[in-house]
Amino acid sequence: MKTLSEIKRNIIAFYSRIQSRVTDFSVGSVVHDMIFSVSAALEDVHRDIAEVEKQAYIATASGAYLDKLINGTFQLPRSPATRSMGYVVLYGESPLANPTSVKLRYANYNYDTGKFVSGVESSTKFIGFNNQGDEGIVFSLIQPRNDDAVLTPVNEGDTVEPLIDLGNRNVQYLILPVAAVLTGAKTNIIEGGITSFPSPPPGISNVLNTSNPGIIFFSSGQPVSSAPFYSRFTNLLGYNSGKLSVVNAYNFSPRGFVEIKQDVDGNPIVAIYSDMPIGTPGAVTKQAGLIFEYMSQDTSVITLKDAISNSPVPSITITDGGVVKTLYLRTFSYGGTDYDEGANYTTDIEQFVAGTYGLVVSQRPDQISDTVIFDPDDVLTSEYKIPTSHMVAGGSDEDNDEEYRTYLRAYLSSLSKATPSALEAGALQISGITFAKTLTSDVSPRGTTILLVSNEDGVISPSKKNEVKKALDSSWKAAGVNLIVSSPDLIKTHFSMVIKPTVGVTTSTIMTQVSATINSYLKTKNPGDSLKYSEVLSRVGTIPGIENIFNLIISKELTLDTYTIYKADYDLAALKTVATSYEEDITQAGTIADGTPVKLSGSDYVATTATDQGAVGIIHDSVPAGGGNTTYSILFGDAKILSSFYSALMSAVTPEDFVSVSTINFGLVLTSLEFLYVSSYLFSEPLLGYPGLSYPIDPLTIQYQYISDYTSSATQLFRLGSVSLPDTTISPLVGIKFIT
Amino acid sequence: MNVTFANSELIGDIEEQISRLSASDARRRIFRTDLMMLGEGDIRTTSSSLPSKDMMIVSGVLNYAQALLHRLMTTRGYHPADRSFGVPWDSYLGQSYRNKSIVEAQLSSDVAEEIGKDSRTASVIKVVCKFESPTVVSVVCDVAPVSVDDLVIQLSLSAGAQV
Repeated sequence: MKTLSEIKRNIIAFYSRIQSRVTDFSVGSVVHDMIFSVSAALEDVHRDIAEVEKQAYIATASGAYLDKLINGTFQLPRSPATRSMGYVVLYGESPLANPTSVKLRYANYNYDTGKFVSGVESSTKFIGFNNQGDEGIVFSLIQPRNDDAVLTPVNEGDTVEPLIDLGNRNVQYLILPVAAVLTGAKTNIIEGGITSFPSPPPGISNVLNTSNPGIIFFSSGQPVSSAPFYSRFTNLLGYNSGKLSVVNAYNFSPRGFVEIKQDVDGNPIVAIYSDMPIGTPGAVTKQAGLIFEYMSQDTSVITLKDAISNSPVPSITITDGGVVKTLYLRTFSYGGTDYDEGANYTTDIEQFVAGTYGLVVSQRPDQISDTVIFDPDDVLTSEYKIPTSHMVAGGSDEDNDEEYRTYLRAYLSSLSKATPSALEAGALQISGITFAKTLTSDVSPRGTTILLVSNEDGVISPSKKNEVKKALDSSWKAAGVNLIVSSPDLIKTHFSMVIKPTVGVTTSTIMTQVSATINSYLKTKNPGDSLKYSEVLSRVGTIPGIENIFNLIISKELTLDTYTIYKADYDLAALKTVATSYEEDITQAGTIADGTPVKLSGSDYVATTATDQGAVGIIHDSVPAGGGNTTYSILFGDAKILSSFYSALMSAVTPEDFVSVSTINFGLVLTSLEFLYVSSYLFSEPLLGYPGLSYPIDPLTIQYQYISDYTSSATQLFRLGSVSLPDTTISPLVGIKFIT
Repeated sequence: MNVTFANSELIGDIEEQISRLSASDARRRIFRTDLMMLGEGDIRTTSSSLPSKDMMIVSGVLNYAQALLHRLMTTRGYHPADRSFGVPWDSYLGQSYRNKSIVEAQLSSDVAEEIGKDSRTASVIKVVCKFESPTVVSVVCDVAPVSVDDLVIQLSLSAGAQV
């Protein structure tokens, strides 16, 4: 580029050549200053020309000019900045007393594109901090992948607010997805970085992005497949921790309390609190266990709150029904033998709870179990951890100019590699990717290629998805193709079967092996594959100790609603087996509670008691299997038997319960067919097509021509899941009943 | 602003002065030639009618005198090609001084120094600055150019704004 001085010299030289009259070109002369002005303007022109020249070539262009050159010519947009997303834990102060009042408002988010669709402004927000000293990063609650977790219209055409639907569940731990409102690498938050919840709804105390939510359970309900809950707390500093069991926890994050109510042998630990300072007349006492403060991030260590300190005020501050109260520890007693420090111990303990907060003594629930966890997307592992793949991550900056140029070069050199199989091969080069499949054009938007990728469990983290996309975009993708990297949709699949084991075999062992065998079978399946009855039977049939398999049923998406509806139908069928006769569609019976004994009064049936000599039977309400209006029936017979059977039946939630109801309580021995009938009902849905509405399935009606293999769509992948049954246990979706 | 010449060489109207002062080739070579633009800031043109009408030029000692005028008319820091060109009027005008004579002496020194920057200046004989008001100062200076014996150019101007 020519400088002003060069331009001025050129003009003066030229001017001097063409005339000789004007010769004074020194600074301050009229002609110099005129030439200087022209030179200055020309220098601006030269600068503009140089800038235009620079922006005309990919090698030197920058910013929007480079976008125009590359995207305008090759339709290769610059890789945009991405936002981080993942799951956080919301902590209730205690199991939510009124979950329907907890308003958690989500923003609509497109998980495939990583962009918000709507509702960001009004969504529930959290603040996170990265370790780069940036200001707080705002995260927005987004809709869970599971549609069941959000409010839905009751009637077609109704509109509903974008709220998380907790139903009537008294949950305390909520595992919910969030996404950064802004984009860029700065939105990557380290674990524990999201701790600010500016406007929590009543009952919610805090938020945390952590791989270890610190969920604490009561000790009496031990899971079968993992370590006892109490053994997770192995180090109670200064105490014989191995003898203590955790019974309750509140306000877990970031500082929470664990209440120890008894040791593992059932020896009670009782602390007496009063609502006024010690010695105050009229103080009301309350009981609770000992209060410990959680300290360790790996949940293996908890410590006493200010253990045996000399704090002068032995009290705790609590929130009781929304009212902040102070409770004073008065005495402490332990029924076991490990704490034998005598009278001095009581004095010491009085002082360790000083100045704490958050324990709700008077509202303490009897127990905490899985029912306090709201995890609609099944993020938690069986160890109650949030896997790395679901941690908040995935933010990246927009490609800078040099990265964009590199992208173009890589694209140009990869044209020959840009086939679907090449994309799949490219994805499989990336660690952690064990499955990759390019969807056919008929299921992809025009101009777009969709690549499904996952690990062996059928899932993929947002950051890994970004990693795959970036690698393929830069090295493998075809010209002008918009590549979407997605993960398969998981279909929770349910298997039920009746197994006759060989004599002497432990049935629990078989159950474990069947579950593992089916799981292994599912892992051989890719999106679009079929589940074949013959394949399942052949695999399960090879398990040692199995003599025969009956009534295998494979179904998808077993839900609690489905279960409830079919249970009602089966209840009616079961009741009919102990009734002498029955009459259906008795409209008048709708005014009488389900299970109530009735007698005739004139031409009407009226409620009575089971011991009434005039009782003729009981009322039963039934929801049709296909949905619709409730029907009312009268089951005639011995009202006492019917009534007792009814009560037992209503409380029966497992096959074992039901068999007990039938055989022990009433001396009824089910036939094999009846037994299979019960089993199929308890764990299954109807098959598609016939027999449909006549569910529960009578084994006699199951014919091979009505059994069809299940086939997923091109984007779906079968995996075993779990379902919450009415008894609050989490059951794997493998239902097995043994004929012994 | 006025320019006068102390000897009798310069008489008559401006065109006559121009003619006489530009007559010598030697003086044109030493003092060079520029377009004519005096204190009022207008380029002057010949009185001829078109198409022979042309911009007037100024040569010799008169060009030197015009250059000094331009230099004194320029406030230092405002010439885009040379920020040191001109007199620092901004440093003097618009203020009240307890002892004006000292300040006037300082200003006279600056004016003399500025005139001396022109290579065609032989010597600055006298500079007298006098504040007429805080915003107006009158300057009279006598300057001897190089190569012209006994010629003294007297420049007088009022710098600042009359309110």
